[in-house]
Amino acid sequence: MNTAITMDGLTTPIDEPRFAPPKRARRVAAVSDDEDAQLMLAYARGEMRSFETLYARHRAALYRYLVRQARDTEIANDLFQEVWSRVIVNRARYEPRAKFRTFLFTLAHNCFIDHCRRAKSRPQGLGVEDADAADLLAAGDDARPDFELERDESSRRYRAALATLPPEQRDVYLLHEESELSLEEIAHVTGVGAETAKSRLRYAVGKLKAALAAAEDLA
Amino acid sequence: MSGDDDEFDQFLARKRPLFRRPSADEVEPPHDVDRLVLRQARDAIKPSQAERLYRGPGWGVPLAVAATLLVCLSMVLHVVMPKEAPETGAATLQVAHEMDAAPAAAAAPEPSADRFGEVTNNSAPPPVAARSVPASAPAADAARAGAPDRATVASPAAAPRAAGAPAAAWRADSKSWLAQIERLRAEGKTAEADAELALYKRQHRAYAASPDR
Repeated sequence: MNTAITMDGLTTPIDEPRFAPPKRARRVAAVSDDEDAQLMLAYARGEMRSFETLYARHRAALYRYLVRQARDTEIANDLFQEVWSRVIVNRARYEPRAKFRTFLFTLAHNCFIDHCRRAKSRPQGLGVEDADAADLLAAGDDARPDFELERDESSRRYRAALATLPPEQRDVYLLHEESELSLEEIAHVTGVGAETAKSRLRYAVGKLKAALAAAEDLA
Repeated sequence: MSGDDDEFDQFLARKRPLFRRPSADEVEPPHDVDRLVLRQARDAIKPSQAERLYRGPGWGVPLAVAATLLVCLSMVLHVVMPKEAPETGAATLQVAHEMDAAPAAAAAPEPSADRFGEVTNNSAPPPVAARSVPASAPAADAARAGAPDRATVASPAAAPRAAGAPAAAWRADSKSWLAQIERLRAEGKTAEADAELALYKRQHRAYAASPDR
């Protein structure tokens, strides 16, 4: 079994991830948000176990949102850490007036907006979809099974279609898909009205559907 | 258009996806990032965990400190301060000597008494300071009037002595008391001698069980 040296100097098995990834995150039964709020309050009182539970529940969805938004895994890693850092720092001021998920994705949305403002003056690096395409070309198709190639191609098309969306529409769509927030909550996170959020989501879904259909026709 | 609206409403209600999302889209944060986040979370609550080690009432800590200081002070005083026990032990030994010396005291010449409880004029009551000195040593009689004896001062018989001094002067010390008992027996007053002996034993038993011992 492969092992990795952690920052604490301990070896942990790589083959046994600490958090079992859900098969289909969006189909996992939604946990009670009151329970999330209670976990957050318990962590604010010093219970580390509560934070671990909270983290295990939301890490994958939050990471997907940030990766699709930033389109760069390095930036997404930084933003992911920054979001959780804000959760940790603000634990004492947390009040369960809204769902914890709304609180978390509001932080994520704000972190990404801050990142975009900071990055305006810097040149953009290689995006995820570009990197994936480069990897596919470099690896060659002969050594890979057909179903893997098909799955990767499908995923690449999806990410490429997502990248063509305007930022506001992509933001609303990703919040709807990854955070499972309601339209009203998405509107609250993005700072727009519910009708605006709904309109953006409708346009985003329509464009994605058309782009994916066109890509499949070409394939 | 209404068909699109229904489709979109079902999409909003998460009842039906509008397009097939690829399964390879499920990305996970790296394990290193997981460890960094969890470590930061753990470090953030470490100080508060230290504060929560004591969960008792607020006045518990000062009370515990005060109690600890009191116990320590008591122990220090117990070790440093001189003990009274050797003197008490000396007094006990003195009383034991007195009881051993009782038969000898009976043989020694004693002031005559007309009857129980009365002492003749020419036989003055023994000085208080000489009560604890063995009667068998004649040379010690001269010293009886000398320096006061600490064991005599500490004797618990002093209290009844002070109360009933005019009635029974021989009860002032063990030697005189035992001598008086012997004298009563010699005179054939067995009942009085037994009563006096019982009183003597009772007083000395009380002394043996006293907290000063």
